[in-house]
Amino acid sequence: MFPIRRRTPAQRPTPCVAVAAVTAALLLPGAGRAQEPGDPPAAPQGRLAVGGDLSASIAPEDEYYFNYTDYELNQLRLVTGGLGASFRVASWITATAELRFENADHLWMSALYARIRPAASVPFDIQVGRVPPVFGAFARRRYGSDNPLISTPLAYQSLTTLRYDAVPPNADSLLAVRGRGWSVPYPNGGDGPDYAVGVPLVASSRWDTGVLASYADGRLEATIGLTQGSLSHPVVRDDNDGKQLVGRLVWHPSPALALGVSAARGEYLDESAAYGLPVPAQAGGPWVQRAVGVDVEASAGHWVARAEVIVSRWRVPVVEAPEVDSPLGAVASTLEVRYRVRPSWYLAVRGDHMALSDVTGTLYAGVPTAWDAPVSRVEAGGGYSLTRQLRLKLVYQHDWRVGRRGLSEGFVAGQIALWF
Amino acid sequence: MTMRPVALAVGAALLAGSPGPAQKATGVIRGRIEVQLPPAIFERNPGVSELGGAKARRPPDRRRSVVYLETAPRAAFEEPQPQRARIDQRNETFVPHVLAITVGTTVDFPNSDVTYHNVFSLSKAKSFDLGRYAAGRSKAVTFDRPGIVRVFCEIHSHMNAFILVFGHRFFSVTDAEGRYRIEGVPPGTYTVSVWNEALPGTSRSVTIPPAGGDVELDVTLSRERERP
Repeated sequence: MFPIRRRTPAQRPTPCVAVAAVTAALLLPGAGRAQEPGDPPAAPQGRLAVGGDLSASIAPEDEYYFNYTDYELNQLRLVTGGLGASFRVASWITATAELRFENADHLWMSALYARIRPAASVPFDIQVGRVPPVFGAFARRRYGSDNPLISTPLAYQSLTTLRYDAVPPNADSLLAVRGRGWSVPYPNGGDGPDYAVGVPLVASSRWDTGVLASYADGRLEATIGLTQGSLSHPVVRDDNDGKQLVGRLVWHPSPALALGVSAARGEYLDESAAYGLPVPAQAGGPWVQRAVGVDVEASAGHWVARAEVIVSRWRVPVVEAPEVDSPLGAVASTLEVRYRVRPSWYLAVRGDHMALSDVTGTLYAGVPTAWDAPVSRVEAGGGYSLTRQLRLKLVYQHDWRVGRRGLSEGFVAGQIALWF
Repeated sequence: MTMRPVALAVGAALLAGSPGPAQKATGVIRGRIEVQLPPAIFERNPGVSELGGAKARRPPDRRRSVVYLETAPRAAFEEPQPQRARIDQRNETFVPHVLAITVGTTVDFPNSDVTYHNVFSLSKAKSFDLGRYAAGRSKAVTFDRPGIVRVFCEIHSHMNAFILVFGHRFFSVTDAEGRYRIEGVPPGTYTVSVWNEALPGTSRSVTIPPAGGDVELDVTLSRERERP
């Protein structure tokens, strides 16, 4: 077992005063937009909507950390839930918050934002605060009720050996830790290396903070946003003075088909890691993650099929020889199929693969080698609905990690998911 | 919400206490059901996946009630004609929200939206899943057992409807003002029940005189328990 350095409370994403302040400011009468004739009076006659979800998953120990998330929890051995509420302050503004927990030790405000619709007749919204994820097709359906299986696609969960708070000094440092995203030892200002989890391509368990503008009619959904963090490292408080620009476009050429494309560019390396670099290396910044994703969802009768490919590139500092071949790339592909056999039960299968670009060091005999161990996963199983809002799932998941730490592991996992 | 699937099922089978052979003189039970719903403090959150994208929707009319006879007269068991009914899907809403039918009725579910819908039910009285189908298409289900069937859309979690399936034809869905009318009831004494999705149901005894005629029955449904 490798030691894992737990994040300090300051590093963990927590409800941010700034977000609350922005949201509160927007909700104050007179703020954000002048009151117009016909608007509700100062004491708003809003409407409150509440909802929640709860799921408990059980599986054997994941000896090789295939299912660990950036919250350092095994997603197959997790009790998680959330309680959300939306309050319609006026016809044009709604405030939304959601409190989530994972196991007994982790509680956080996952959502806290205001949604503003400037014109009732135009399907255009502005969202401000800790906002829903924009990038990719899966991020908004990761919870028990929307996910036909238990795990998350690799792009949204599998931990790479890149960190937001420390950098590999050279290519050998990177190659030496292939396949160890759950505990990556890089120097971080101290005497020796410290250990922390790496980042996934897209961190779906945390929402970023910023402003989104979205338009949706029957055929087209378009969202563009400016946020504090990056796909792999969303934050509440900006930790590097770099903003992320993110966008997504979904086109429905027919009701049976949805084609989506997403793109993002944001700085992922935090300020302390960037400032700790040797001066020549600092000149190579900014340390950005660029990503593009395409996805498709097709359905017919009792079948639903989804596919998604995400390509991500991280620019990394070149500190010393043998130099890291920056940018480092990763490609994650997912194919998921669900078939409803009976009204109350369905079968589903998902195949995943994550490939990575090569770097060349002195390790591996100087042969260009993927900078992190490629991972594959197949998960198949089914779900049975006891009621419309209570579902049992049983799956089998098999994972493979290729390379120096080539490993293979299989699990049977079960989940009970409840939502209201 | 009080559901009476047992009553609905048993109502078709129970003849005890019902009048004898059908008579020419029949009566009408009519009146008004006042539904005293407390103001809705909460409604269901659209869910995490829809946060920020929720459309403003008109909530279903929870004031619609169904008035029916608990025990049906023998005339109820005359050979029924095959019936057809319809629940439309418009603006991500089932229309009507409450439908009452007799056993054997086939209900069409046309999709009048621009998006796909997937109508399904997990109710014991009728479990079905019509799969996804596009605008302009319609699928149908025949309801062959009495009971209450809750209908949903698998894609749009906010869509729901109720279908009450009766073993007889003596029922009525209230209109927008709460009025109802059950016609052709043979003389006799009956238990009239009221069902509403949001409030506990209630029952009253009603007698149609031998000469027939109209009997008026107004009922108020509220959260408060009835006094014995």
